[in-house]
Amino acid sequence: METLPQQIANALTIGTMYTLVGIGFTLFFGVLGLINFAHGEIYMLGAFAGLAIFWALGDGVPAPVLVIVMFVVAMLICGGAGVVMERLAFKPLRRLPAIITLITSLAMSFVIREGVKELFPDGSNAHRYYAPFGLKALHVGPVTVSYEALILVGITAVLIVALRLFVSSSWMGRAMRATAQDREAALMMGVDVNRTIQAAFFVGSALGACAGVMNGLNYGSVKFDMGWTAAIKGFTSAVIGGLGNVYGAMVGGFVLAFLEVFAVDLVPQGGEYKDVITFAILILALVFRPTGIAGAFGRRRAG
Amino acid sequence: MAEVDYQRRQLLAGTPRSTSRLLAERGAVLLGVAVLYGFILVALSLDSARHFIVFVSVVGVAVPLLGQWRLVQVLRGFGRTALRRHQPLVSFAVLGGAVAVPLVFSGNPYLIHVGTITGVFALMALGLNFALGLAGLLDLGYAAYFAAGAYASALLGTTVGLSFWMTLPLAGIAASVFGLVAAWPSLRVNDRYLALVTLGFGAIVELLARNVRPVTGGTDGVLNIPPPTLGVYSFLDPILVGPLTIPFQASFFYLVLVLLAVAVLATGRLTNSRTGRAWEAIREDQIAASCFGVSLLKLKLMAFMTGSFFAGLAGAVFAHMIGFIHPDNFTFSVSLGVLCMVIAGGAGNVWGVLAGAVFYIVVPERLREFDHLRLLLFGVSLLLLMRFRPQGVFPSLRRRVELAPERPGLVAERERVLGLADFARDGDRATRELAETTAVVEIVGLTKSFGGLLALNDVGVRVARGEILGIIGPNGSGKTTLFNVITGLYRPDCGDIWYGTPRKSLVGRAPHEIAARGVARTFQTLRLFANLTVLENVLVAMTVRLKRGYWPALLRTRGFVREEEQAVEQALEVLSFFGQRLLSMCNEPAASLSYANRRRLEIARVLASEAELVLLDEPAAGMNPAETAELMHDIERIHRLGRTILLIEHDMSLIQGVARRVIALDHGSKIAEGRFEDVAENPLVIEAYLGRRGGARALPR
Amino acid sequence: MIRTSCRFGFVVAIATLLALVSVAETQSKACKLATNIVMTGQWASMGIGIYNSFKLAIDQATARGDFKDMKVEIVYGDNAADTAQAVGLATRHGQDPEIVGALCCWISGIGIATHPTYNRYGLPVILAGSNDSRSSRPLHNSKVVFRNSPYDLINMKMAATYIRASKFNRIYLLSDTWPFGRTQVQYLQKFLTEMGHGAAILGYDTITPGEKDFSPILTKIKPLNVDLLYFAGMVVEYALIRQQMLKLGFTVPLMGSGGLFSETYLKIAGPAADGTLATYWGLPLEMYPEGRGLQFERDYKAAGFKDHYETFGPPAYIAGQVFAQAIKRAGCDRQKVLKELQTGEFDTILGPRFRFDENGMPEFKAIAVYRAEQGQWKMIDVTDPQATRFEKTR
Repeated sequence: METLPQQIANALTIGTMYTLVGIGFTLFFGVLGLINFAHGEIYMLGAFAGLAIFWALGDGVPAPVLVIVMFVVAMLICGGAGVVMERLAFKPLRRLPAIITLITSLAMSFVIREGVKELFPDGSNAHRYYAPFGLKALHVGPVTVSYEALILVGITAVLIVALRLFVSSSWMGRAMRATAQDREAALMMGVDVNRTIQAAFFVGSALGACAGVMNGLNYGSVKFDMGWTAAIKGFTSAVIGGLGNVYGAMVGGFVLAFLEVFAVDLVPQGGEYKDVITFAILILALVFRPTGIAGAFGRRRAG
Repeated sequence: MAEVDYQRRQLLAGTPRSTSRLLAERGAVLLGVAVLYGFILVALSLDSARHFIVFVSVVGVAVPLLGQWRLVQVLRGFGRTALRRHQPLVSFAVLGGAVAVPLVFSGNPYLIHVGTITGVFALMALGLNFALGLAGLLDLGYAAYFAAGAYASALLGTTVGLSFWMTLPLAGIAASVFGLVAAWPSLRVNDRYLALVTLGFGAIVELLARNVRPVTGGTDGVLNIPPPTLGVYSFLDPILVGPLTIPFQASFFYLVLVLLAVAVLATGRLTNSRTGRAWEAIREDQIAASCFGVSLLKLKLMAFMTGSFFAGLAGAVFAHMIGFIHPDNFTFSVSLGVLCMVIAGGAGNVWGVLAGAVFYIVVPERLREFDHLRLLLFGVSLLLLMRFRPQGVFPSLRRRVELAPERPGLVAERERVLGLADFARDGDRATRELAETTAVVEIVGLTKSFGGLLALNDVGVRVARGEILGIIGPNGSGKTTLFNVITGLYRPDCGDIWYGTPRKSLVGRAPHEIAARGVARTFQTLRLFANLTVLENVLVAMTVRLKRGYWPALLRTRGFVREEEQAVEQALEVLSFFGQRLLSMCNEPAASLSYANRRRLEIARVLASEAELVLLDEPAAGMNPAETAELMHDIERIHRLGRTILLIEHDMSLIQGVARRVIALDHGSKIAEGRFEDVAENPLVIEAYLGRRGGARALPR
Repeated sequence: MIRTSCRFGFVVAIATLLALVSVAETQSKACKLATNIVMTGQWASMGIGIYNSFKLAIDQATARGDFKDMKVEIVYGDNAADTAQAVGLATRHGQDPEIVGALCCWISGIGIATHPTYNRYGLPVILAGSNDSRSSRPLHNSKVVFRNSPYDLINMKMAATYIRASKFNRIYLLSDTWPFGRTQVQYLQKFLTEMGHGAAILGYDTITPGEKDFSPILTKIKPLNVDLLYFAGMVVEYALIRQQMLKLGFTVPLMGSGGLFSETYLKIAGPAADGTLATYWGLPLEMYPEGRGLQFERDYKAAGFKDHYETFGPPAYIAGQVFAQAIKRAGCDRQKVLKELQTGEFDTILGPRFRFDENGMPEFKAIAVYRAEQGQWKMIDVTDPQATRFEKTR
């Protein structure tokens, strides 16, 4: 029990990463019905974009500026990449069964991952990332949190609030929700569906890039294959929250993180069985509560 | 009438073909298969990867270009008909070519090895094709069944010492059990999330393989798996045939070939049977399928279990061939790979799936020389394939039910059968007695709400046998909901539905069970099986009437063959209810029909099911007056066959024309009942349609 | 119609041209060495380092004129960490009579799966990495299999010896889920128990490779008051664990082997690396006799490879030297090359008298213990060449 406060802190940190990637998955699924395997690679691309900035600007620039530039550039690049990906690969296949786009996203993930590996110098190896605070951490009683983690949780909180506002109140956010519910009806109501979908891809990819940079900053290293695990975790978070439901995805990541952390902590040999437990719970959740957590709060559709 | 007879006879007998044409067709088939093999073998034996890419690109560009020549198009049409008509010959030719490969390439064991691995994966792809290609169910954890079979066979072989020939079928069965376990939880509830559940299941199986050391050996894997033996001869010994020494890899190659042949045969037999049609109906439209007697849960589980069986076989062969298995062999990448094979090759089509397997294994193998760009190039090629040919390399050909070729006695038999029950002849059936007081359907106090919306409010009515009951009401009044509740798509909150003699309650029963009781319906929004042919649509509707299912189809028993033939005949008769309109299109996909014909097909399905209680939901929607008049005529003919009909309609002339009795619904409640004239003048009814200030204008007659 | 004919004609012309080009290429008789390692996927960096180092040795021998007018080529082979592909490659290389030697595997599972194939074709193969003892002799009988480093049984035995002698009495074992890590930890447990030090092991658990955040498991271990955390896994996870340990205030030494002993680890962990212990076969490059190790480093840099030679680069270079000399002496003949490997002495960066013992293992089996200090690996102890006991630690 003495480890409880620390484990909670751990779970919160881990949860932010999962949530950010999960939101991307849920946006793509909601708006296009698409399970986008390439999203994990966009996350990785964001991290590497940040790395490139770090290499380019590196030492001369004060820490806060460098970090902000890394974030902004990564988000722009990946947002753009997401839009390009949508136009080139997914748009032509919109009318076809979802499985085709799934395979396409898979192929796309190959291309991005191998592309980064080829284009970056020593691409197949892991790289040291910018660590503004080094090994220093904040100690509050029994809890130790690294400074990066604090800042990142803060940024994530801001992003989530901003996203929530965007989705619920802004014109584009409403358009996205409408398109998610019924694309044809949205079209008939005057929503520019194409632009909405592109916006969804931009936002989702930008968030993924954000998570990638955060991951690099917090853990100090990136590698070209980091996208895969992140994708699985993000996807699971989105499912837990209810695929297609942005509010759910915000919560889903934290739920997954808490599940994992406490599986490790409480179960003997927890590290070994953590993933089995997590997947088993996921399956049970899907079977008994397929609409995810958000569904639990009474969002059943009539008729 | 005579003309219709002649044309139907033509359809059934098939166009006559001369011997020379037959020979030409057969020759075309053999040539086509030879060219295909040539292509693959040339691609494999090109020395450098650069040449390979150039070769494939040239062919890939040349073929569509050539295809624009008239001559080529004519040849292609000829080739297609030939392929279609001589399916057994195609299989034989492909098989023959495959058998020859190790003999021809006895100096190149590597090629045979790659061929065997391709075969193992092709076997898995064929297995996945059942659930994914035929039934449209997305399974993302397929590697789990592969693992189950591999471990089962390996462990039984190493610890208990069972011979491979025993562990092979056991591996298949073990994998089937895993398939059942994987599918069961999610199918019970909602298969939108089937993909995710199977994904999780696959991950769990891999993790368990890694962690449960006492059973699976954990990350140590299973070592020293014994090769199969035939008497004295072990599969690791080279084969000596006269002067020729064939490398040992060929033994595994032939083993896999045999298993592939079994899989292809099983696929073919199941596809052209009640089971296969039910699977495809599920893929096209689950709700319609279930309303025509297809038990969704049972059929989906069967698809999973059949598919996973083959994965288990593949796993066993893999284990005994490599001699060492390890959890890394069963990762999610494997599941994705098999998925790619099925989709890129052409889901649902056996040859497509095989082509997909070849593509997936051979291409990266061939691109080896490109160093680290291999996976990148593979990703790019897959992208291009999905972009420009998403239906796959060999898309599922419009499967046409092979209208039986001429066989002497059968023609006479057919004539006799056709003569007896001829729907094209009008008005020869005796009219059933309507004056029966025993109701066949009794609906009592039916109530159904969705969230806050009360869709049905204490609705009750009794319908006499052989009656036509009209149901009218403005949009949203609950008419279709009523049908949905009767057919079991929704469960009412309270109330009951009694049907049949002896009376039984329909409430709480699944749609397919209700269909089996003799209830069938059409849908307000058409729910045809779009990619199935007209004939197949009708055959699916006959699911409840057919007795012989999975095993008779697989074993192709005489009873099954006879039943299938009869089913086709009956289906054609049902189609002839509408004269030539549907009959002439019987081999076209339902999606290509005109709107009016689609509505007719919906009715044809209902007829084919021989349901006693027929629910027609706005059959005249979108029809012009001439078509509506014809429809009225058709409904009367159905009536004369003795069916009880519930008819939802907005077209009052149609209602008036056929329905003796009418009920009116508004906001879920029954507001009127009686003869049409009475109901039409009922002020409540007028108000419901026209609003409070609509005045006393009666509904048009 | 005309346009179609034009296009068609164009296609035919190109096809003919290509056919001519491909026919025109003549096959020169060459002597070949094949590789069968992981060149793509997440361990690509290891495999690429191995391949480059191997190639460097052969290229240098060619440049020196060692092969006279024989052309020695390397056949590139990537098994993508897939067993079936690896066996396929082994078959392909085995059946090609021009290939007289192979460098294989790196992944233990693949070493286990492929040795029967190499044995069947009599193709001598040197295992790079593949530390699971089951992939090597004497645990199997494939006489063609050689190693370029001692296997896990030896490595872990010395690690256990060192741990016990250094009086680490409260240790926790962690591994990842790949066999390399798992078997290491299993052997370590086995040896510690055999030495009577089994009670020192307080627990054992696993982490999932690919994940980034190991704070939960580290938080769980910390209250146990261990004095050593042993982790068996891959480079990136080592670096992450070390950094996260220190951030949590969990400052005991981290110890490992293999993947840990890498420049990448030092680079990524940065200052956190200090105090990490690693056991590894052989001496640090700067301690190689006559500065040969440093010469290798210079040569590698000069060759301009895009990727680093990584942990297993030097042994791969040695393997290259061995094959080069074997071919030089025995000619382009598989059987003769095999004989050379079995009986000959080779002049490598480890010294002029490098030999394989009767089990195909290098005779020089010394295991060294390194500690990371200020961004460098410093050797703090080493065993005798037969790896029976340490010099300093008793």
